[in-house]
Amino acid sequence: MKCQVHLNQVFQMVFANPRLNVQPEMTPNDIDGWDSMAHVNLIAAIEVSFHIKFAVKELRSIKTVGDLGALVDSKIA
Amino acid sequence: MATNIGDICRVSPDSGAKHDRTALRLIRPDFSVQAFTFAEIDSLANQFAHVLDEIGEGGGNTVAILLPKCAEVFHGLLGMLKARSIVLPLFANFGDLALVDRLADCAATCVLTRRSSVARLQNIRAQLPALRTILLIDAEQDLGPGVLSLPARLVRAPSTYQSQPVDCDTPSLLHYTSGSTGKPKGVLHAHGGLEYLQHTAKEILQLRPGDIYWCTADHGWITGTSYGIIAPWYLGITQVQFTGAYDPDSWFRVLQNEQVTVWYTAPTALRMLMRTEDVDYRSYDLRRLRSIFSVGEPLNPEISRWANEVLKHEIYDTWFQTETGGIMIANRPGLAVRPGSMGKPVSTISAAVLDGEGKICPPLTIGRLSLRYPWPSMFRDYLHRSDVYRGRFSEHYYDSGDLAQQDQDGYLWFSARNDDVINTSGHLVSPFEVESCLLELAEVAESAAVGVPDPVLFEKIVVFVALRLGVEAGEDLQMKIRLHVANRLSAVATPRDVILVDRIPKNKSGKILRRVLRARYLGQNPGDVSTIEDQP
Repeated sequence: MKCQVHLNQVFQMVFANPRLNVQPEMTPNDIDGWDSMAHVNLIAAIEVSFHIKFAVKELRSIKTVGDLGALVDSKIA
Repeated sequence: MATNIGDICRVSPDSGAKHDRTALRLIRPDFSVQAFTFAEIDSLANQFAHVLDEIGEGGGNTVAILLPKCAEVFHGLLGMLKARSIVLPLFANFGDLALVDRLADCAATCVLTRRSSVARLQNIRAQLPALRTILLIDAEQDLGPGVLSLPARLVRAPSTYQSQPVDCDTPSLLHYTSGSTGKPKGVLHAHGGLEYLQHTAKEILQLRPGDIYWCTADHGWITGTSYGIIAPWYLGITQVQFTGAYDPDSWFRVLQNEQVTVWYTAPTALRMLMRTEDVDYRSYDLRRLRSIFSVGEPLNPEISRWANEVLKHEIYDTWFQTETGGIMIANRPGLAVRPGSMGKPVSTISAAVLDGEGKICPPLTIGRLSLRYPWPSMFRDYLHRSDVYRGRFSEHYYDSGDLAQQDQDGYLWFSARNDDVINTSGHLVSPFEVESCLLELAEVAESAAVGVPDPVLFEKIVVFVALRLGVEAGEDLQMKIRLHVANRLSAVATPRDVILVDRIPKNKSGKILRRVLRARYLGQNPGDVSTIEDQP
């Protein structure tokens, strides 16, 4: 993930955890508070932070941090 | 004397044996399964109770659960009740302000959680003078004074335990709920509610031997404890619980693979399913599914139609509150559904729609939805707020705070809340809490929060913010505002819209005129605005 450092900052902000260090294999079960409501906030924060937009269909395939990072990478490339 | 709720995996209302039957199938996101029999859950709960006694947290102390769905939630909760602790189930996504409000108010002495939450609790510990123990489910050894390992203690705890005697009024569970003003109130329940919960699970959910039951509610919610743990297990029903996040495909795989027969979920989840167009729900084999129930917000007729067409099932809407403890009014198999109606009262409950003078309204007249008290599962008090508790009762009736009407055939129809509390995806959120939270931001001079209709969430939270002089508005600030509320309160309380205004309309006593803001947002006529102070 090219965007990992920046993406990690967004995760830290969304989950109010400055010690969070996201890894590609992590799933919502590995991060405290990453439920469906927080996911909406995460996506909105990524869109603002990276100046990108996601389509609903693109988001349905995201299962891990790596999936999310790959999607972000494809949009900022 | 009453049955200790902690013993529900050992005793049954009909004395039927259930020891070797499966109590819980915990489905992980990868669909691997962790299964427990009733005997295993009871043994684990016994061990947990011993641990609480050993560390001095049983016998009337308040113990909080701050965990996502996992096995320890279930046997831990029962173990706490066996040891006569008062259980405070919390949403795992609560922010630090929400945690402080609740843990400090009830003077919780112990929190059952996992290592990843220790830093969060340590950050607020100074505001929690009563908190002496953080009990970790995932630490093999103690991490320091007062930060203890549960596994290290469970392994040496005996698997039998003589549960503490209780009576009908012995406190059992404490769930917090929000009002229009002030901090959240602790709604105190008692062991005496057990029989009512099993009665409604039989009469309304119509659970019966051999059922596979799935209640999707989180344990932080009264539904998650009353009907996601207590009632089904007392009746010896096998429960399925999914530990993954919401995902339409995963949910339908659970329904299909686990052969769920009774499914209890929420309108928001159903609306989200309905709006997901790229999943072919018809491809799932749901032949074993007998009934779908929902709770939390009114069920739109639109969802009923979708469910009938796509899922080939009726959805039975049910109504109750944190305060009522159990289902009070419901649709159910055998009662013709009138889409949009709450249904009729449970057979042992008398509900009435009352006018301002406490008289019963004629049919089809909106009034206060009230319940004749007492009933066994009713709350026993608002913690430290007995004055407010008493204020909810008139001579014969409990005032639910909801407005409703009753038709000529006895069906009840929800109209609105009688206060400013926001019901977003089944969670009651206080506008006051959101506003107070926003005022913590240096950029914010004034704030107001309102609930407005939303096609998925039932109501969404919209905040109006007046910024301090010189503060520049932008996307980043909007996101900061949203995340601040999410992190301080909960993701559920996140404002979906942030509207910047020059000033917040208030009346001459300084009360925020939320109806004016709501009308402005919806493009409606705000009505009488003559009371607005210093209109520009």
